[in-house]
Amino acid sequence: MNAIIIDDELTFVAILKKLCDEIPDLNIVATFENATEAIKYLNKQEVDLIFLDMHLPDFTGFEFIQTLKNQPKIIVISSDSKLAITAFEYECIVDYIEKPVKLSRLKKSIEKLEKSFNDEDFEADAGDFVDDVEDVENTLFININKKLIKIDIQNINIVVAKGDYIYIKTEDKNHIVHASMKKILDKLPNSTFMKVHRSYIINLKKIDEIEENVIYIGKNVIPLSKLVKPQLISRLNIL
Amino acid sequence: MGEPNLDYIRKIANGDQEFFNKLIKIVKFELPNEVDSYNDYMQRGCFMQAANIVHKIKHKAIILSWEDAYQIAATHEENLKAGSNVDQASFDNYLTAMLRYISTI
Repeated sequence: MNAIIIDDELTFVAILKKLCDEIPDLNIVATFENATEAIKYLNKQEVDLIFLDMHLPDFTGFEFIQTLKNQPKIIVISSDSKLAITAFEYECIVDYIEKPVKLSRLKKSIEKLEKSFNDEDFEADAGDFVDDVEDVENTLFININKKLIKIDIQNINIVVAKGDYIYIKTEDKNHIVHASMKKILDKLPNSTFMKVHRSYIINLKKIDEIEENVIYIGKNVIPLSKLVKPQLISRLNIL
Repeated sequence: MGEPNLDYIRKIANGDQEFFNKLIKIVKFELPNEVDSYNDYMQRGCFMQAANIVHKIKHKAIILSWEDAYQIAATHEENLKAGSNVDQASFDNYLTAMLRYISTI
């Protein structure tokens, strides 16, 4: 996987490069102190991933993203947690890592990215889906290629909206169905499931960790809407 | 007030002496430049631009494992964005201490 780093702080560029050296198959092919130079480079070269600091001297990170014709995957690196929610509104942004970056957190992020590449391959192979979701007691039947496939509702970890489709991520499998978030939310029990962001529904029983405005479920990093956070916290059994 | 140290840099270097030296060299180069820019913006009353520099200096506090300096930088950054320099004197004391420290490493 070829990646570039855009950050005007040389110290963090050096640190991030050093950490990336520890991850197999991740090659930092170039680093840039400003967005303008990075744009020139990206007009000539394709990369798989950009590590992007949001505080750049010439552009904000978001302005930079909007200039890109072909958007590679982006991992935002910043110490400004207020940007996290906005960051997750961009499809190309796959993760948000706070400075100072830790190797364990970086590895988690790269694993998540590799998984998203795999999911996209799966989506491309999946063919046509029928937008019909059936609920039978504690199971959910999804209609894929004219087959009704049973899912145990309690095995669902998260549901992610991607355009006209939803990803249903269970303990062992991911399913892609042509359906809306509203439709699936109506089929899931309110006692266990909650919409925590406009594109994410989570199974409350599967939460591993909540940190600021991010929820961790297994390897999934889920943005938590500020408006929903108090409601979520009130539903947790907190000591 | 605590004091800075090299624990974070040592941890990141993980025994790589070349990288350790390189990182210290970068910090010794970057921090004084950032402090000069910060002082310049403050003298001109450009609080928003100064806040952007404090944002970077805040990261140097992380690299020098100095929690207290990080906290005052974070507060000063937010206040500057809101148009207040109420923490300037306190922050400047930390800046002086940081510059003094990096001159010894």
